[in-house]
Amino acid sequence: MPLQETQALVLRTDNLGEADKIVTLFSPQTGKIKGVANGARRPKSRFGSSLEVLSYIRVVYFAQPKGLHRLNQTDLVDYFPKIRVELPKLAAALYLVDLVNSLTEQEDSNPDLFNLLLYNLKIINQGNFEPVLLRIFEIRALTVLGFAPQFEKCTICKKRLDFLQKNVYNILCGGILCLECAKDKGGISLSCGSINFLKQAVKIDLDKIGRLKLSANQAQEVKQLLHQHILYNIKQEINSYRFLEKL
Amino acid sequence: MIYSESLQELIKEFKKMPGIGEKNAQRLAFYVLQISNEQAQKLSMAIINLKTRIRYCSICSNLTEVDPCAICHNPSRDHSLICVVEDPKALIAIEKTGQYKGVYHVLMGTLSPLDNIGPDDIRIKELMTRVEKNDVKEVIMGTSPNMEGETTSLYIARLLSPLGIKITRLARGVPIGTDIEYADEITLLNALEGRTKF
Repeated sequence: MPLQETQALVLRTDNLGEADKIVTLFSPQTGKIKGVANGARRPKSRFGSSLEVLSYIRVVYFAQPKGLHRLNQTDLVDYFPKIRVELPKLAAALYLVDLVNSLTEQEDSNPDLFNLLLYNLKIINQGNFEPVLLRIFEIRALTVLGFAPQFEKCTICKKRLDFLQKNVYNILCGGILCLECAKDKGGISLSCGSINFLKQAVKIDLDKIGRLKLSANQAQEVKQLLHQHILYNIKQEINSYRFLEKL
Repeated sequence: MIYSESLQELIKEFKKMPGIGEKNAQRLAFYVLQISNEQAQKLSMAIINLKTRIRYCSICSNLTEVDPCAICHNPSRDHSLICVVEDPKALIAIEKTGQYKGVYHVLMGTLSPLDNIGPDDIRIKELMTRVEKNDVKEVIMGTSPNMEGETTSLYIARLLSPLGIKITRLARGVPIGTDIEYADEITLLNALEGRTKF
């Protein structure tokens, strides 16, 4: 049972027994891990408020070769207090952690995805929340995990696309089709503006993502495309997305 | 089978209860076995009475034997002051203070976006109808200070704010009888922000 220390974001917590919690953490070193925090629900627990969802913590745990790890000690690094007092920000942040939880497997390290999540939580905490941020997060998360839709070439015939005409995205093919291939396969119509946004969103430096804008139509197109693409890849609904949509 | 069929069945039923494992279930079943027939009948009647008599109050959703419940029926309580709580256990905890003279609204749960528990799954609509139909001056958010409780409070506050009603929440801070040096940063921060004049 080696003692491990890492920084992590709390993705979710589930009650266990009378006073314990199963905590799902996302760490840059180990990826998604699950551990038991004994007595975490007691008012005088040594874990304090550090094991709330969305907390950024430093954690010491006894690593178990199989099953759940045992959390030993936690220190709070950031609580993102401004996220927790505004409903749109809270719903958006919960969607981000829920998405990461759904897209990742346990013990699969991905420091890029961790940094992306942490950066976005900081942005939501600091500034005014814009829904475009969620779209940028979605496409970048899909990209670092290798699930991103193909935009450069037709996914069937591999012909380079010029994006001057009507574009069709086919969910089963995982990308854009040329007009010839689209005749047989069909799919969702996508404007050039939306495609350019998605291509830019992947490449642009994180500190410049505030420059990316979408029109109302493009925002709807991009949202629909990414949501369909995510659902197709993870084969399940994302619970917090429904709540976000109801606001 | 180690135990007789009826003993095995009782152990199985006890094991379904929260916090009861195999050993505890066995202990309880053997306790029932050694009590008198009269005691066993009292126990079974108590369970049946609980299930047949207890219902939810049509006004506040609290557990009650008469509808409306004793709190909603009491004319000396302030009906313009509603404290919103998650479940009947939270209501009992506040009632134990003996100081609160308003009425309650029990949500029977909290919003949990990560578990797909949305506004339609708890009694938010009933709260809104109640507030709109009655002369309510203040709503106190008495949900737990965790992610689910905060989400629920924020959601309800957002629905209530256009109605011009005073919305308050329970203060949060250092528990009585503890040392400040052991309090975590968030609790202390909340205590500092919510400090009151001496």
